[in-house]
Order: sequence, then C-alpha cells, then structure tokens
Amino acid sequence: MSEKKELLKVSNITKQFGGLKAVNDVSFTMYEGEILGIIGPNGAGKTTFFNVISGFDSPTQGKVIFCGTDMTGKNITQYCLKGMARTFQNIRVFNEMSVLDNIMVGMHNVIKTNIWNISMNTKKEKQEEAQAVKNAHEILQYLGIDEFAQESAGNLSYGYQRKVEIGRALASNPKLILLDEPSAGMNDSETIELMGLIRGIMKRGVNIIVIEHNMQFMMNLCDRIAVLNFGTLLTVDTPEKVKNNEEVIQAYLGREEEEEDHAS
Amino acid sequence: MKIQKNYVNIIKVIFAVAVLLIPFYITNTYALKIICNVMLYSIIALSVNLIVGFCGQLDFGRAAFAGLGAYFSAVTFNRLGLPFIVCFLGGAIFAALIGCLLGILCRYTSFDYLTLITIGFSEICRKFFINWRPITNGAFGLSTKRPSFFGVTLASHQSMFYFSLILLILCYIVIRRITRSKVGRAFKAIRDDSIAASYAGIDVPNYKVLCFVIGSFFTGLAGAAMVHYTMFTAPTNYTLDESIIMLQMAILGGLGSLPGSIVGAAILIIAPEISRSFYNYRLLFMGIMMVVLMLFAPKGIMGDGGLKDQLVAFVKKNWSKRARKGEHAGV
Repeated sequence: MSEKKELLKVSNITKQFGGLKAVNDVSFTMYEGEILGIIGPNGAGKTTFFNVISGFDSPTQGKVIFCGTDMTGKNITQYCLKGMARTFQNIRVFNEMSVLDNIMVGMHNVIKTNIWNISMNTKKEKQEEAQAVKNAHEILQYLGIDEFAQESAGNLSYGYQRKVEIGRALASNPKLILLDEPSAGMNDSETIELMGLIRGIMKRGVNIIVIEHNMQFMMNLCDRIAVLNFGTLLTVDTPEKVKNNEEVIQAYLGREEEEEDHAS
Repeated sequence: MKIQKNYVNIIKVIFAVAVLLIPFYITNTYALKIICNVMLYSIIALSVNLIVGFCGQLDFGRAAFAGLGAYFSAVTFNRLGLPFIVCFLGGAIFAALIGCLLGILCRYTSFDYLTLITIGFSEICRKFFINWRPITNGAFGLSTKRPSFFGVTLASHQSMFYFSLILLILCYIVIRRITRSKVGRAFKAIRDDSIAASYAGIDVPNYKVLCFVIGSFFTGLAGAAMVHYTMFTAPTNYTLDESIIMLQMAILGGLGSLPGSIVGAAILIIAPEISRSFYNYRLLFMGIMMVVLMLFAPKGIMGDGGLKDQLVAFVKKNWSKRARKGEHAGV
C-alpha cells in the first residue's frame, strides 16, 4: 500500500446546510489503481460528499487534495483541467446533440484551437477536428454504441445514455472518474455488462469512485469501500471486512438492542 | 441516391447563379432594396440564432447592438473622415466590446433574469441615441454616406446588392464554422445542460461572454452595413419591437438552423411589404402566422424536426403509399 501514489486525499471534510451537517468530518485517501466505492443508507450524505469532492459545492470545512494540489474552493472547470470527470445520478446527456457531439464535448479541453483558426478553417483546425472525430468514434466503439453516433442522444434508451455519459467522461482523458449510481434503472444483465465496462476503463489507467445502492454490484467491483452514515464515515476497507463490520451492519439493519427492546 | 444527390447539386448551382444575377433581371429599385434588407437582416438573424438557438440565452436586446454598430460607424465616418472599412469594422468591434460588457454582467445570471437585463440594456442604448444630441443628433436621426472602397463609392443599388451578398456569405461561412467547431459544441452543451457542460470542462460563464461577443460583432456589422445602405438612421429603428422582430426571424426560421435564419429574415421582411395593400391587417397576419407556426411546428421552418422536416416526412409517406397502391393495382 505504501508504494502506491496518492490520487485523492480528503481531509476533515464537513459540509453544512444551515443547521444540518450533511457531511461531517470525513477523511480518507484514495490511491492510484483502485476502484473505491461509497455506500450508505438513503440520506447518508453520499451525493453531497460527491458534490464536494467534484467541486460542485465547496466544503464548509476541510480540504480536497487531488493529484497533490489543494483544490478546495476551486471551480468545476479547474477540477476538470486537473483530470476529474463525473457522471450523474439522474442522467445528464446533451439531449439535442448527436451522440458523437456529446463525446466531443467531453474533449473540450483536449482540442486546443482558437477562434481565429476556427473562422479561417486552417489546416491545423481541420486536422485536430478530424483527429477528435476519430478518437470519439474509437470511444463509441469501445462502448459498443458507435452505430448511434449520429442519433440525438435524447432519443437513446436509458442504458445507452449512461454509456454516452461515461464516454463523455472518458473523452476528457481523466485520471479519475466519479460515477454517481451508474447502475440505477438497469436490469441484471445490463448491470453485469456495466461492471465489465468499469473494469475495462480501469485497465485504461483511469481511476474510479462509484456510489451505488446495489450491494452485490459494489462487493464484486470495488477494491475498497467507504461507508457513510448520517454524514459520518464509518469505515474504509475491503468489501469482505466491510461486510462483517458491526457498525455497518447496524447502520443498515438497525441496532439489535432496539429490536430486543421492541420484542420485550 | 447518387442521382438524387446530383439533382440537388444542380439545383444548388442554378440557385446560386440565379441569386448572383438578381440585379440583372430585377431592375426595380424597390424590390432590390427589399432583397438587400433581407440579406442584411439575415446576418442579424444569424447572430440571434447563435445566441438564442445555439447558446440558449434568450436575448431581447439585439436591436440595441445593431444600433451601436450603426451609430459608431456613421459617427466616425461623418466626423473623423476615416476610411469606410475602418469605420465599418470599428462599428462591429465596438458592438462586440459592448457585448462583452453585457456578457460579463450576465455571466452568472440565469435564463429569465438575463432576458430582463437585455431588455433594460436595449432601453438604455435607445435613450442614449435619443439624448446624446451632440453625437447622435437625437431624435432627428443621423444621415451618412454610402460605403466606399479605395475611392470607389457603392452608389447604385446593384453594387449594394453585391456588397450585402458578399457580407452575408462571409458571415454565414464564419458562423457556420464556429457552430461546427469546439466552440459551437460548447455553446450547444451550455444550452442543453449547463451543469453537465461545466463538468465536461467548459468554462460556462466565459463561454457565455464569448457568445455575446461573437453575436454582437455580427449584429454590429449588419447594423453598420444597414446605416450606410439607407444613409440614414434614427433611434426609432432600435426599439424593443425591432429586437422582437429580429428574434422572430431566428425562431420562425428554426433555432439551431443557419439557413433557417435566412428564410426567417426573408419571410419577416418580405411579408409586410407584400401585404402593404392591406396594411391595417399586416400585424394581425404576422401574429396569426407566428401563433400557428409555433403551435404546429415549434422548431420553426428549417429547424430540426421543424416544418420542412414534417413536410418532407409527409410527402415521403404519401408517396410510398401511392407507390404501394400502384403495386396493388398492378397485381
């Protein structure tokens, strides 16, 4: 473990909405080359936590250190430039744009051009654009949705839209992708396919953090799992240890004593 | 399929030649004037389309930018005696600068508030045109001269026709390139979902500003061309009504479709002129047209899934039906 490089370090993150502490004093470190899962019962603060580490919300207290840089308080664009990408719980694809364009939006910071090159349609601009189209098709092929390249993204089915979102995240050549409930609304076979896809992305040298409700999915996929409950971090450990952790079981199933009290 | 493509190309060439030769077979100055107006308004409609259709920012202040370009160009041309091209481009750049200012003010403003800001801004500009008499000559308006290049003045309507045509083609090409580039994709992404756009690494506030700058540049350019064409301008040309007409051109033609903007401009310029004989009902006619179109083809005429697409689908469906009937009859 010690030789692994730190990718994301979260220290003492607290996010407060009025009197409510949605995330309370969470710290952990994520290393390169692992899939980290975040689980927790409903309302545990998973999405808020995600929003904080992806730069959407700034934390009330604490620091987010990504790739050795303190990113606290920086805006989303700076997070993206540093190599972070994410997908959303309620899918956000660009409905009226073609699937290909959706992927190419993800390449926004990969394509280096300026307004002069664009208006003059210089050779450089043409080459870069052609290269971007080629790369986008490669990503689509990898995801198995190349046949829909010219289709409007809004017309695709839910599962395919997920893939478009993942493709868009991949297109920016990120170091870390945050997946917010990627298997929501998917059936079993689609979920298994998704798992394979995420492992494949991992092999491309991209690190992944996943939030999920689907326990089986998480236990099979993740190298380590962080458990949140009422905004506090219960544990960060391997799936087996998390499964047998007293606190985690209590968080999900309720306290035994309470039930006994009820019974008596 | 190939033959069809050839036909399309032939039709395109014929159309291009027909447009190029317009001044030779339409010698009526009144008609020529309208055509020039259509072309110049098309540029404005294109710029509106860029801001409203591509970037999704509902802008009600376009007329003010046409006015800024027009007044800047006319005033510098009259007062300073600079070469026409300098004043003309200066007008566009001035409009772009003011557009940048407005964009910066609206950077973090969401949809409806932005619309209100643009309305307020256009009123401010109009008041400026009326009240800054030493420069703008107030409500009396300002007269200026025709464009001239290297001592050659474009005095005739024919020469103005070619001037407007070249301007329109250049603007169209540049705007088309922008919309098909990284910048255009960023605009569309902001329109569809600004949060997802920012997570794709697009600097949303600055791209909004960029959109206003580019749009205002072209609006200002068209405004400057118009003032030198009509040789006169007055603050009444740059009211909110005018902005709404410009907006209608883009919406009628189909937001997101560049040829649509030209079609929209053509309809909204030509229709009132044709209907001058029943002038009193002109606005009623335009209003009904707008309502009907928005109800049945909200994407406009040339937009994606708009009136044109609907008609094409309708014709195709009926044709195939007829073909099938023919087969049945044959059997």
